[in-house]
Amino acid sequence: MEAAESSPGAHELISIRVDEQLFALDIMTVREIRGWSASTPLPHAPAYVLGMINLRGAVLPVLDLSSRLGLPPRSPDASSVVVVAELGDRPVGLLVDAVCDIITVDGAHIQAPPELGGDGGAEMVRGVITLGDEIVTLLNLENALPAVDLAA
Amino acid sequence: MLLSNLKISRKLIIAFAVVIGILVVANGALFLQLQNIRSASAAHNDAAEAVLEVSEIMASILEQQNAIRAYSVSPDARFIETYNQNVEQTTKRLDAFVAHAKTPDVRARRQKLKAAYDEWRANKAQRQLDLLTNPATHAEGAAMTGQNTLTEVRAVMAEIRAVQAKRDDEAGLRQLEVIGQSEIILAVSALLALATASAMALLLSKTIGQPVSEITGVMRKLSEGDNTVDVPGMGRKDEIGEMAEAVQTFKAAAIEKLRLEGMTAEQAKAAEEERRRQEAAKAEAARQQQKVVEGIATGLEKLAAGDLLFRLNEPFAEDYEKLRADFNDAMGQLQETMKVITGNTRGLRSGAEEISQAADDLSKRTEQQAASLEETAAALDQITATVRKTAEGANHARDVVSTARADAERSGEIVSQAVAAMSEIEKSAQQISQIIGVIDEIAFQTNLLALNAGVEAARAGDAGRGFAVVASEVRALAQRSADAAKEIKALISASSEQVGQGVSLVGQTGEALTRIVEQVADITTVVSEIAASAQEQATGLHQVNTAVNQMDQVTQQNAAMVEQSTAASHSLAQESEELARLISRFQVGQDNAAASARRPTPTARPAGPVSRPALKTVSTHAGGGGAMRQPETEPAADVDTWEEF
Repeated sequence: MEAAESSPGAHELISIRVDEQLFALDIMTVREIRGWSASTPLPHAPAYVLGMINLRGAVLPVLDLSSRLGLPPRSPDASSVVVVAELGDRPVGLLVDAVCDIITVDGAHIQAPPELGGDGGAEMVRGVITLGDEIVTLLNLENALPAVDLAA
Repeated sequence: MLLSNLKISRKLIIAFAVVIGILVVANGALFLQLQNIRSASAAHNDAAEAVLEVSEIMASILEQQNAIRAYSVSPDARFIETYNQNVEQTTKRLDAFVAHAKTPDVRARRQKLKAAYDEWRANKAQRQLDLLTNPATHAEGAAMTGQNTLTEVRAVMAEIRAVQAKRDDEAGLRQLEVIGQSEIILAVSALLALATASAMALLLSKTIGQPVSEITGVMRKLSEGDNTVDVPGMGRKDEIGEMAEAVQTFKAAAIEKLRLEGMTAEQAKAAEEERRRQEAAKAEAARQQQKVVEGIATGLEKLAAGDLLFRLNEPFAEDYEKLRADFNDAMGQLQETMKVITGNTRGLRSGAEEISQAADDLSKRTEQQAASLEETAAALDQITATVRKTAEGANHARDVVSTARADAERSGEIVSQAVAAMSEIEKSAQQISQIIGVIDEIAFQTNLLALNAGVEAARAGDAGRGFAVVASEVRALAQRSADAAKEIKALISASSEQVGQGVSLVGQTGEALTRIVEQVADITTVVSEIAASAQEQATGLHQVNTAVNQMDQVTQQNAAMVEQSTAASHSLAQESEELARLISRFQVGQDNAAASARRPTPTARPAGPVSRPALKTVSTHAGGGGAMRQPETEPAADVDTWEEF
């Protein structure tokens, strides 16, 4: 996906809203969008993991994206939406406040995020897009789950 | 004597009653005797009839015997017919004869006769006839003729005849005897009646005729002038006594008349002498009288001229001296009286003037009062009309308020209905909200589906381009639905809020209306009271009005009366002036001058109400009755206060 980052041409993104802030995901990583349904808690899971849900027989974890991004945790409600994305070959549910739109962005308009030192947070952000007055943060979901888990 | 005390009519009645009584007794006796004669005569007739009847029956029986005998000689049917007729006739006569018997023994004898006949006819006559009618026994029948005898019948008949003849004789004897007795009674009674009538005639002539002729003689003597006769029959109590008393009265009257005639003659003589003496005295007196008359005439002339100061100073004859003194006293008294009258007349005149003035004032004030009362009455009428209008207005207001109250109560109901309607609206709004929620949810889900579609389209790459456009359109529609649902939700919530406000406002309105209803009820009460008060006022004012009208009438009458009294007082004043003028003609000494000085004043004054200014000055002098003695200011003050009053 690094190549897609810098490569010119049209990128189709899905914009989502979390805690009054707009983020975007590459549409190809999104498998399904569904409404919130109650999740089953997962013992000893990190704080940003809300639990598990049953998606047509497959069990997948649900993460609180706000909490994962270091923002204040969100409590889900009726209007909350779960975006089912594929991290590698594993599906994972992301709790967001709303799915806003499907936007098509030219690759040239994707800017690099400001360099603030090498911390863990920066690896979640792939780029920044300006859309009118607002800033949309393009997320890199590959680092959403800990690598340990991947390794295990 | 007892007879002389009975009235003449009674005497006559008694006398005739005695004679009539005797005649009645005699006639009664004769009547009885005649009855006896009649019965004797009837017995005689009976006996004669019986004998005649017996003879006829005998003749009839003999006819039968003869018929049978004739038939035995020549058998002819006519004889049998004759026989049968006679048998029938005889039987009928015998039955009648027996039936007419009056005594039992007579009846027995007659029945015996009938039995004898029947026996003869059955045993002898009929038997012989039967034999004769049969030709076979004819000869036997003819032979019986000698045996067919009537011996027994004849014996009985002879007995009857003998008895009747004996009775006839007895009756004749008795008749003669009775006639003889009757003759005796007739003679005795005639003699007795004659004697009694004669005695009564004598008695009556003695008790009536004799005294009457005596009195007649006395009366004749009295009429001839002989008053010395004694009147007989005095003391009797019948008409004779009364006549005697009347004649006695005549006698006394005649004696008194004679006495009076004697007295009158003596008196006439004495009176003649007296008259002569008096004429002489009268001639003397006439001279003196002439003198007195002249003096009195002079005095009366002076009196007529009004000079009350004149006195008769020349002395009169002794007899008339008292007359002179009396005249002088009379003049003196008259003078004094006239003096007093003059003074009183002055007072009277001033009093009359005061009355006149007062009456004028009273008249004026009464008119003012009448005018004021009329104004009052008019004002009261206006007030009454106003109050009546007020009452009507109050009644109208009460009606209007009642209507308003009813309206307000109805409005309260309407408000409740409005509240209920608004509650319904609220409920509907909630339901709409729920529906909108459902729509919103659908929009949300649609949006998600559209997004998934968009994701799938993107994955499909170029092949999914068209599908992406549709998904985007669907998303836009879902978004618009969600927006519309959001707007409706907002509107509904705003509407619910407004409905709540409306409900609260309507509730307040209802409370306000309830309060209005209560206040309107209070107003109704108050207005009713006002109406009642106005009605009472109107009634009261009507009464006041009536009273004022009555006062007005009374005042009018008073005014009329005051007018009359004013006129009367003016006339009184005038009369008093006239009186003063008349009295001033008399000369009474001293004050006379003052009276005559005032004399021209009344004539100068015009009569009637025109003299008011002059009277006014008098009135100021007058005051409350203390004529002319009051100070001048005080009456003026009195008058002022009167005017004010």
